[in-house]
Amino acid sequence: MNLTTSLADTLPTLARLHEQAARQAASEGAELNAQMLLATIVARYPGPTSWTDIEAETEPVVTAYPSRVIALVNDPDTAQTQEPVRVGLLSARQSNGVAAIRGELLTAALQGRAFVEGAAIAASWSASGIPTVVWWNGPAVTGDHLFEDMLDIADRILVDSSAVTDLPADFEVLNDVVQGSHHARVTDALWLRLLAWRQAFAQAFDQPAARIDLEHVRSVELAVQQSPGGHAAALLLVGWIASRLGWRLDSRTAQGWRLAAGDHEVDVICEPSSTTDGLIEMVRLSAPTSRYLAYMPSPEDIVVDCQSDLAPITHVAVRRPPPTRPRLRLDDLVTGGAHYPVFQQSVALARTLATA
Amino acid sequence: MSMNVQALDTALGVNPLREGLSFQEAPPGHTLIIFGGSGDLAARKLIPALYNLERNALLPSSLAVVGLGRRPMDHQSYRVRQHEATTSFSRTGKPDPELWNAFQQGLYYVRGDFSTHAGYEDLKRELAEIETRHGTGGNRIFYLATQPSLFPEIIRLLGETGLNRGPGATRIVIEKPFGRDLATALALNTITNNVFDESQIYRIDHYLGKETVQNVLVLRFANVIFEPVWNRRYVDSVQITVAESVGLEGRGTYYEEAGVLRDMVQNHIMQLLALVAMEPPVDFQADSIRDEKVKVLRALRHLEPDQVARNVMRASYGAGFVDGREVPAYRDEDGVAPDSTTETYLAARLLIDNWRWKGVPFYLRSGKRLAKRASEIAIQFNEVPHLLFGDSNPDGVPPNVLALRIQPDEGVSITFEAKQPGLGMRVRPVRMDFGYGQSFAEESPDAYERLLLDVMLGDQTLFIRRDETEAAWRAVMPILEAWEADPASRLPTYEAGRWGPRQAGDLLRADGFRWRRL
Ligand SMILES: NC(=O)c1ccc[n+]([C@@H]2O[C@H](COP(=O)([O-])OP(=O)(O)OC[C@H]3O[C@@H](n4cnc5c(N)ncnc54)[C@H](OP(=O)(O)O)[C@@H]3O)[C@@H](O)[C@H]2O)c1
Repeated sequence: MNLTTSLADTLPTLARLHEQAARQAASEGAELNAQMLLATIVARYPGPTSWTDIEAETEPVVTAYPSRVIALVNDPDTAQTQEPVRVGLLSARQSNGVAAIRGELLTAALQGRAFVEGAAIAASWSASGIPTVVWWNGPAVTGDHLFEDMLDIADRILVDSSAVTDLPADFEVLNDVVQGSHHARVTDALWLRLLAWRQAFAQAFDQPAARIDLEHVRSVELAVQQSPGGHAAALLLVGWIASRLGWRLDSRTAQGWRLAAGDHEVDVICEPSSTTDGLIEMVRLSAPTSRYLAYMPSPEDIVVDCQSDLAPITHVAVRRPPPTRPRLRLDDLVTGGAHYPVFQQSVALARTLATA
Repeated sequence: MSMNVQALDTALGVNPLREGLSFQEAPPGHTLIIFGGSGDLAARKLIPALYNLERNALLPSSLAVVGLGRRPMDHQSYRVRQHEATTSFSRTGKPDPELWNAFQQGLYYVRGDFSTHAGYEDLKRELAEIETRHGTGGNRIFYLATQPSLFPEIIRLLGETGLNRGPGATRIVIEKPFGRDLATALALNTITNNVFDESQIYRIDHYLGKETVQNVLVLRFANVIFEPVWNRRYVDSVQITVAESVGLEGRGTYYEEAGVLRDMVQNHIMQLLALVAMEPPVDFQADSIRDEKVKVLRALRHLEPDQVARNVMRASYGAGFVDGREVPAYRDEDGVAPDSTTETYLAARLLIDNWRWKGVPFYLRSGKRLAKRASEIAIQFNEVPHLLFGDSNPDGVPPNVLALRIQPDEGVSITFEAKQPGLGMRVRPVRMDFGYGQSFAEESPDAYERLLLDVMLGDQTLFIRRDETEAAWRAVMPILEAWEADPASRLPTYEAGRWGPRQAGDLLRADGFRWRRL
């Protein structure tokens, strides 16, 4: 195998030859360079999904985070055909123009027991020595055989509580699996969706003077999308603020909850939002002499307007790429499981609120 | 101001909402004032870096940039010029029209002379207006991107006109070189620290902005397997190479005055050495890291005049071939004196007198017009104490080497011994390699992106503290002094496109080592 090239292009050409050789080796059954892989990802698809769709939503993730993706697809029709497994490489063009293999995609179309027992397939196909992450594609569940198995074999399971249907029950389950002592940690795409909100508030209170206001907050008002996902988001965000600040549930109110904050009370009020753009439209923390209003002027921005006699900074802005599914999954791969106790405490409080 | 904030900070403890959210803070609004905004550094590095920060949504929404220079230009022509520059020099290529359009609205050009009082009063007025228009909160960064000879004057006038204390946070960024020897460095530091508090001063060594340089700390202190052997008991020698294949690139006049010792060794290589050799800092705060780096620089053994010749070798390049193209000798380059004795290559053997490194030689080399562009730190470990497999390996068993590649092809490799397959017992060195490009698809940001963002965030970790520059100068002064006391009429030469003069090998041969082939 050889190519002619110019003096200046010699090394890139050599790299291209390597790529061809790797492809050749792969086609002859050799093991791929597993050194580059950072994780095995097990993606669960509860219903038939095409290779093209799986590839499209997987590629942006593995391009940034080289992984072996094992897609377990519940697809009785395909499972009955001759070859229910497809295997492919995912490659991306690098800045020097050379395509590099970034990941591997293995899809298995399964039916019935085979799908339910999918953990066995995941375990045998996982690459050794690197973490296994499960994309559950739905809220946490109890009594599901596959989920229970994954809790044992995976290092992390990414659930998505924005797809909840029954708030109190689903938060009960989420809390159980998040606080439980399984091998896998359970992380939540909804929690990652709230990242920009948390970031914005954290930044507003990075100014030490504003922290005095934080101790005197009397109300938290939220404008929330009227959907189970919107309510779940509000619960988790309030759970976060309250657990960070040491607030406890006092009672349920018509529009939300009353929380006990040491020597005073805080009213949490949820109002329906007027937009369908995001799960949360606005959050306002009010204290007797200050007000911190966070809102989204555009889908990529969260701004906090700080009106306070104490805090010198009046405007904080945080920008985040829109929370698409690949984006959230990538965030989870990169940061998931970090500072887990903060998440656990937030979930615990959210569950208390949901079931009050 | 900063005292008050700090006092309050302690009184109020940490921000409870910040826990678990330490990553990617966005900086508050700022005005960046570039002294030398019409110059080369601004066009090549600063504006493209700012644009790329904007592209990654990392800039505050309220940012204004004011370029200062002598040549006449209005805001609009400045914007057009910087657009052209960003198109040519940005790592992401031609700017996105919509993004650029938004970005350029914050770009201004103000003409003036850096050496007159009046210019600064004009600047003050302009700033007040721009700050109101953009809502920057009065935070200002003065970036000195102009001839170093102007630095003292600019700093003095900033002080005299009260621009050193603004309505918000005020910071000053100083480009290298920080002086051309210890005396001028001390003088510059005195002037700077008279006008600005050290917490306001950001001395840039862009090498520290490189991802792989920062990775030296991660490799050492986020892993347990390296640190136990990172000392004189296991390390035989350390080699630090910063090699360039380029020549002067039109900067002959500058280089004639500098030479590789001032251009590379006193700053970049000393920083690499400090990062490799430092003790673990107590935390990742700017001063904790800088404290440890300074200790290393202070522990470098002082070279007596008669030791310089034995431990330092300099040379200049002759004519040769690079990339198949014939290139002239250094002395024949534009802006270079035909009888120049400026060194374009330096190799040195330094020792660090502390508990960790006593007796371990640190070999440094850097030069222009070398065989390739390659920067690397290589830790060579001791040989095994007792050779079990010597007989079948007439060449012996080569020692383990841990190589940190800084550029290009950033990564880390370890060489170790493995049994060659077969019935005999033959041992062969193999290489285990980690390449940044293979594991991480995100392109590394340019060093200036990291550094500009850090200045806006008020993070001094990757900037050089006053005592660091002084300690680094103290370390190289004996070399400069010895050269001055005994000026060579002609330096040894090496053929352009090769790995430097043959004599450079003698420095190591005496200790039983060889330069690594890169
Ligand atoms: N260029 C690089 O890639 C590079 C890399 C690393 C470090 N550096 C450092 O960065 C600094 C700047 O280098 P450079 O290459 O950008 O220099 P440069 O291209 O020569 O630019 C000098 C700038 O200063 C302005 N200027 C000079 N004297 C002035 C005066 N009396 N009043 C007002 N403006 C004046 C010039 O304005 P006019 O042109 O309008 O007259 C020009 O904008 C130096 O410290 C250098 O060592 C540069």
